[in-house]
Amino acid sequence: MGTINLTSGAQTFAGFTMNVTGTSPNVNINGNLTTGALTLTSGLVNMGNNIAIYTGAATPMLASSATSYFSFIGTNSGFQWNMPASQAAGTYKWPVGPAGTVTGFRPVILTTTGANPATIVPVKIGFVNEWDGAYNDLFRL
Amino acid sequence: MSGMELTMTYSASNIPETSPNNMAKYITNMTIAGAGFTPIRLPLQWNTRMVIFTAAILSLDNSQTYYLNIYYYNQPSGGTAQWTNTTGLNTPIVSNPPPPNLWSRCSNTTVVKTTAIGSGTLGAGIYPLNLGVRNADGGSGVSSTWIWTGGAGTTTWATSTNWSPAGPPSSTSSTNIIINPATAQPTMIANQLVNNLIINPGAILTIQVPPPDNKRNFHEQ
Repeated sequence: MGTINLTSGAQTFAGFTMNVTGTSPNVNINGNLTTGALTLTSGLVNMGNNIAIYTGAATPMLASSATSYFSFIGTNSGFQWNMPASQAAGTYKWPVGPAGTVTGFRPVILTTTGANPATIVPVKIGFVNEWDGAYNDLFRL
Repeated sequence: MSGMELTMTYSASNIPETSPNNMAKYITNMTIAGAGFTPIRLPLQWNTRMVIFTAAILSLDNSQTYYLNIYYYNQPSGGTAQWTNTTGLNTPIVSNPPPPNLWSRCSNTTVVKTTAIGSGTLGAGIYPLNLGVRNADGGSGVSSTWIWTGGAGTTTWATSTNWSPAGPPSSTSSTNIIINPATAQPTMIANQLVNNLIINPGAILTIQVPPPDNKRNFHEQ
């Protein structure tokens, strides 16, 4: 699959489902993406230095896999979950991975000790390359 | 990816690949935009495809030399900014432990730190994280390093909220400035002394020509 360009004013979706199969299943997104529902079934969503914003409930934050996640690279990048007000304490997984020198599924899981305050708390996880030096293959993780 | 770098320095977006540093080639940025967030456990995962750490028998015992750990870039409002080993702050939990000698393949290993970057509520900010065995960051004075965030949404150099920590940067021979990509990129119109200037990939710094009757100089040391 190719590239989807999201221009300003056309970046918000009621739901987003990734279910692409075949050889090297992935889609490139140019622009920030906001969705209220999220399903990751198969394939990579390559966001580059953009932001994927998820505004829904906790359930999709509990499951992802090495074959279906959001990839990022860049200081602006990341998967941002706008955690709902009073979101209960729990364990939540950001379905992310870097797309730089190292690629692959690198989820970040946060376990919160208490409920959120009565306001939305946006938490974004993204990646930047570590990029100088010459020790290349000795440092791949 | 490459960037314009005058010298190799430690920063929120860079760990020089010089001995004895031994770490992942990516930095995970956790950005919190609200208040009252209270994480306690923070795992980072690696999926190893090949040799990862050299000349080391990797240990998960934090009393050993080669201890795989989560580092975070601690940038307090005062004092020293530094990549900081989370050892000592909490009790480590490691799931799917790697084999003792990581010259071999392993995959889906997860390092978990309880209270990885503090045991209380985290304030709004960016928390860079990295997996590594060694990180020789000696630290730098917080007041000497400023990072362009464009948080105010303007190009104005002097606007405090365009910088982290709040700016504008001081103009001294020890000042370090990092320009990160942002929707609004900075325009420098006044004298600015700088020690290290890093313009990260995708970032733009505009140096405006001063009026003839008020010549200004850009100093690089």
